[in-house]
Amino acid sequence: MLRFILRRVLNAIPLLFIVTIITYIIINCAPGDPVRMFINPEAKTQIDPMLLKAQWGLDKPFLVRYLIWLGNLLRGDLGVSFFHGRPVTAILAEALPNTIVLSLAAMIFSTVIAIPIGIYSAVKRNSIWDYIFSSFSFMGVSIPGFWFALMLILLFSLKLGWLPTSGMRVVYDHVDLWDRLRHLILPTIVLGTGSMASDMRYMRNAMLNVINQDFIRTARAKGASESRVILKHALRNALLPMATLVGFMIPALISGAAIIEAIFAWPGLGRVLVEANFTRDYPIIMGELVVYSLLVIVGSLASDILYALVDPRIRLD
Amino acid sequence: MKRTMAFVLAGLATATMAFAGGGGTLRIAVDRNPRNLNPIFADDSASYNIISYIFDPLIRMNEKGEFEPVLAAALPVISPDGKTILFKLRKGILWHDGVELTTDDVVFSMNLLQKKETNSPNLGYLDAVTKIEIIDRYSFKLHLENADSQILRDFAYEWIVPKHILAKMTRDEMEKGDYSRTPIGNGRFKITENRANERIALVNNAKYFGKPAKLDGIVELITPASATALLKVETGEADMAFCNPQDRERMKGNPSLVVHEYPSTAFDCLQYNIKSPFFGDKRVRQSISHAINIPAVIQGIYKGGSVAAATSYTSNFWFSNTKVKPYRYDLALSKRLLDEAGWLTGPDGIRVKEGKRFEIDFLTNQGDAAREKLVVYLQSALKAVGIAVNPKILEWNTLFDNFIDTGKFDVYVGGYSSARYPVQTYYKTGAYLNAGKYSNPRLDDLMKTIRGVFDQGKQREACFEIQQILSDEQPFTYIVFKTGAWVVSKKVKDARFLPYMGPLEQEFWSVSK
Repeated sequence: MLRFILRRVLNAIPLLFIVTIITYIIINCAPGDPVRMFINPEAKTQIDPMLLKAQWGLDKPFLVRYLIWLGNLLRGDLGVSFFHGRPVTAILAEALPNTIVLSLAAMIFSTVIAIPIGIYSAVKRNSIWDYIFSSFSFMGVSIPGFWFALMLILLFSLKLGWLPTSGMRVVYDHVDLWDRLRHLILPTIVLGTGSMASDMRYMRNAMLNVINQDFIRTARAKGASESRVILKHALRNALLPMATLVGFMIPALISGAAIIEAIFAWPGLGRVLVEANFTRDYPIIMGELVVYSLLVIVGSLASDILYALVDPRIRLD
Repeated sequence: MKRTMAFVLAGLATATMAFAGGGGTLRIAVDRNPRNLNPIFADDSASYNIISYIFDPLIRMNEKGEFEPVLAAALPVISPDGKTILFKLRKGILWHDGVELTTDDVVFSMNLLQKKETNSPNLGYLDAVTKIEIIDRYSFKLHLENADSQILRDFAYEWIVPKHILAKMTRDEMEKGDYSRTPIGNGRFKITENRANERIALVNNAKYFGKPAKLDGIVELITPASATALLKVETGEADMAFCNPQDRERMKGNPSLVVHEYPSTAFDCLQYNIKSPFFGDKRVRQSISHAINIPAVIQGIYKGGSVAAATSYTSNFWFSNTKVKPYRYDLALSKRLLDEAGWLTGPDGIRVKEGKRFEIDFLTNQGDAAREKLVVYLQSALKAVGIAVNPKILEWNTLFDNFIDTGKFDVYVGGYSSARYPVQTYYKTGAYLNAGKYSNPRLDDLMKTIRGVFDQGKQREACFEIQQILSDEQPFTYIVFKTGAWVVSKKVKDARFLPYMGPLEQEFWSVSK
């Protein structure tokens, strides 16, 4: 097991390296100049664009810039944001917890709903409810998140006035659970719906696979009640593939949160990234992509380990 | 999103003892984070807005463009040669932590701005100050090598920082530390909270030296987009937000909101590349200006509070030359000017000169609905005088990287913001913003003249001539000063908006529960 983890971690290093090179190239190919964002016709002192470029190291050739950035990264320094003038690590550290809260909420929301429905659909397959849930899940997968978000805001905030349109809290001086929850509801639903829809399908298939196996027939033959057969015998086995899915959900949720956070004014990583893209804030963009890549790598590693833990038949070495 | 830097003084010299606050908290939904609230390092309008609540300048510019004292006890006394400026401070001004503001703070701030390693974007024309002479605790004299009237404008937008706090800090601490996020100031409001991407909270400063603010507090709610900010006002989560053109009609239909429209300082124009083979001759530029029916453009495209622009100068200041009028719509004159310039109508109706067809690209940026419509209008309007226009709508960065910055354009249909001062730099030879490479020695001279004299009459005279030259030369075809609009909840009382200024004296508004 340990050797497996070590091997995976070592494999991740060149992977991360390639990811940073590719993103660095893409960002630098995109038209746009961060310096222009700072030319303010009404400013008292017209900043010298060349001086600013030099300050930010943008006057150096592409490869040199990348190497400097990489060197700093190895020392744990992600640089200073052009826009905010603060260290990227500080900005990301502020935003990360908020993103984690939202992603966890979405993950809980989606699994809590998807698993029972998946089981039900498998047990009562080809029933009318199975069809309804199936069409619902196809819808959930295909609905664009930003559109869904706007529709929910339109209904629950503008028309009904039940929930706030955006933000994370109104009460700032202490943690007010109800205030936080109210703000969390809409973004959670939007972010969770996509994975909920796919989880439902996964769960249904996993369950179907198990239900048709011999040991289930044996359990029934022993005279076990149907609920015992499904919940004890079948479910436990069907949950195995789901465990791996959870690991992959983490990066998907966190990167999927970018647009959702921007729409709901959620002060998380995604929102920072969207803003950074508009202002061509290279240090933030690169810093976030490193964090995202790490999350993907850690997430997939976690799901492999989790799988080995829940299923003793799997040996990683 | 520009809040006017307006600060009204108590009319009396004695400190007013009127009660402060009671006006509730005004929640403003905005669409961007301020970058840096330390006035030495701030360089974006979101930061300047907030700083103007927390800090007062020595003098301020009122809505007519005239100076009034704020921290200064009176307007500065300028020597006849313009080389020394004497300031007297008000007595009894306190920093938010209770320490008195004195000349020490002023000198410290100016030295800080002037220091090379500070590298402040707000140095402005203060680099002209060669010596700061402290006379006593409340008065100081500035010595200049050359008279420069621009320096007064800088005092209106320059803030003093507290020496007793910043003197202990390194430059990095000043720029990136707590003081850049929650600074201690001297204005009507104290900052209590600054959360990136969330909100900024200000509370009424009960110890303010002048007429206290009526509002108990101001909260800026930071959203990622103006659409989100508007939603917050619609649902009552915020009291006001800036309103983009496409949302104005919908907002007007909401009975609990008021839409305040006014002409803003942002103007749209056709910027000519003077180096292009088409636009070196001013008659061609004049001809295009005469071929555009501005009243129809306002009615059909810009709507609301926008007004026709005669030049890039707004009409509300003492230096505004109101005799200069927008070009009138006159197709016959437009055609005649083209004829005179040698552009003669060809067989297909498009003009030709020396074998070259008058067919040009009009570039504009994507995402600005008004400009996109304008270029389409221009296509048909200019066809009537024999000019073939190809509208090219480009993504902002591509537009600038590949066309405007490299000078590879004929006409840019874009816009700028009009400075609230007699000197505007779009036409100055070699200026960064002068993408069309316009150059006129007389204009450059006049700008120098304005800077060299403190006499308002002489400044006005020079500025009037500048506006006349701009009108005659048409380095730009000026279209309109665009509508600025704010959506304000009806719970907000005494909300006032001025042409070219926007929200006025928000500190004296109030919000009912």
